[in-house]
Amino acid sequence: MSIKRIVRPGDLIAILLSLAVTAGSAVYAYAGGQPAEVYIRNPNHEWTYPLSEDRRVSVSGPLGETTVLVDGDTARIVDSPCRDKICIRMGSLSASGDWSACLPNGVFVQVRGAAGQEIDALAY
Amino acid sequence: MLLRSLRAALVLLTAVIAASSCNGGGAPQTRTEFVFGTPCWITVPGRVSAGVLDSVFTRMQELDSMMSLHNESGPLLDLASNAGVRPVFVTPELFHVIEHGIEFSAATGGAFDLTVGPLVALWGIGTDLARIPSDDEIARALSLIDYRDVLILEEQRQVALERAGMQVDLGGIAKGYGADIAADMLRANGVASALVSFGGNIYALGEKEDGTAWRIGIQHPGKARGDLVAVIPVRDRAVVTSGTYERYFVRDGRRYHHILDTTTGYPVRNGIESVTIVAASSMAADALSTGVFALGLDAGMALVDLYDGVEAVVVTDERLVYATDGVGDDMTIVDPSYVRGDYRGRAQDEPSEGGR
Repeated sequence: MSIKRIVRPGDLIAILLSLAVTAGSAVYAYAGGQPAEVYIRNPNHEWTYPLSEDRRVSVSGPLGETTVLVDGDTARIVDSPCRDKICIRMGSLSASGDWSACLPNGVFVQVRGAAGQEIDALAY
Repeated sequence: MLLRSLRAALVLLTAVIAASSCNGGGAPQTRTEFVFGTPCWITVPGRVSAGVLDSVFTRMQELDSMMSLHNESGPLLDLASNAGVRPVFVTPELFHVIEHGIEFSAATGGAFDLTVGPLVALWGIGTDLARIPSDDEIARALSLIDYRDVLILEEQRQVALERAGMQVDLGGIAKGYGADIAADMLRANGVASALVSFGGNIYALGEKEDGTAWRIGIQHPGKARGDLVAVIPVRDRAVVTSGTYERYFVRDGRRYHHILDTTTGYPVRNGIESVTIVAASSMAADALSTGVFALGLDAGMALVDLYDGVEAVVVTDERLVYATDGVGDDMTIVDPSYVRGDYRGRAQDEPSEGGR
């Protein structure tokens, strides 16, 4: 009985792919820290994006659309339908744990896993 | 038949190994929940079970219900509605927190006062109703503030507020108390290294997994959230900051912030922009950050110096950073326009209180 009978080409691809994913995750998990991510949540869903990729994210809530801009390894809320715009004044997020939120519109934004930043947490 | 099963098993096995490794023991995990009126997060090592974080946050929600003035059926509103009428029963835990609130009020000579409720409600800072109250309204609110008029009936476990209109507001110690409980629960579950942030109220449990101290940034009072004035290394300590930039409104070019002077009824104006307290107890750090701020630099630092193991960093509107010895030696000022001040070297007749 040859190996070719037990394991078909399609299976081999599946196995190699799984091993590659495992190896890839291991590099992320053990190589001194996760890559930085932006975590965004509205009342119904949550999303995670890499902090290193520029994008503009529109998140809907009960009042309308809150816009999160990811740009130059930082994230910030740039527009929101709330009255006081406190979420915009909270400025740009770059260190792990930094957050901003539009409470009236139910949107929460946080930077996570940014290893190697200047601080681990901000006292304010 | 056997070959097909073997093949399926091999593919399945590899996929399972890959999938379980993706949640590998190495990467820390962070959980965030909205509690105490603010996003609160806790970061623990990857190997800590999710159940531990579940139980901590469940407990935090309970504490929030216990101490919140937004809880219509909560004990503090019950206490206020019976002010000047009758004592109310409270749980042992709330009794304990109120007692501590009274102790901190006494220690700061009323600069931190748990009965500040009517004044906070009057200004409404941080709500849609924020406004400048009239002198009469302020005078009336001030007449209802006195921690000595909170009557504690130890044996019956009852609390009474002596005069109608009085209100206990635990907003100045609730997050601190919660962080202490969270840290205790994490330790009891074998967690030796963790980072807690309850709306910027930090508990740095133990040290980082690589053996170095947690690096805690102090918010720059004049710049956007996330910009720093200083960084301090901390091991197994709470770090709590009170600042003029946290909650405020602006009227006619003047900023009215949320740290109210319990003698004048107006926001404290003594040149201090922020006070950061480092202590083993987050509740103490929380109360003292408010109390030291209201006391001003000289009296505030004198109070801190009385406590063993409590350290302070005070940032002023003259771009000076004062720090007690226990934290000052390791502190790094990261904004070059700010310099170290020496609070002990100040002349006795130098004014430390600014005008209003």
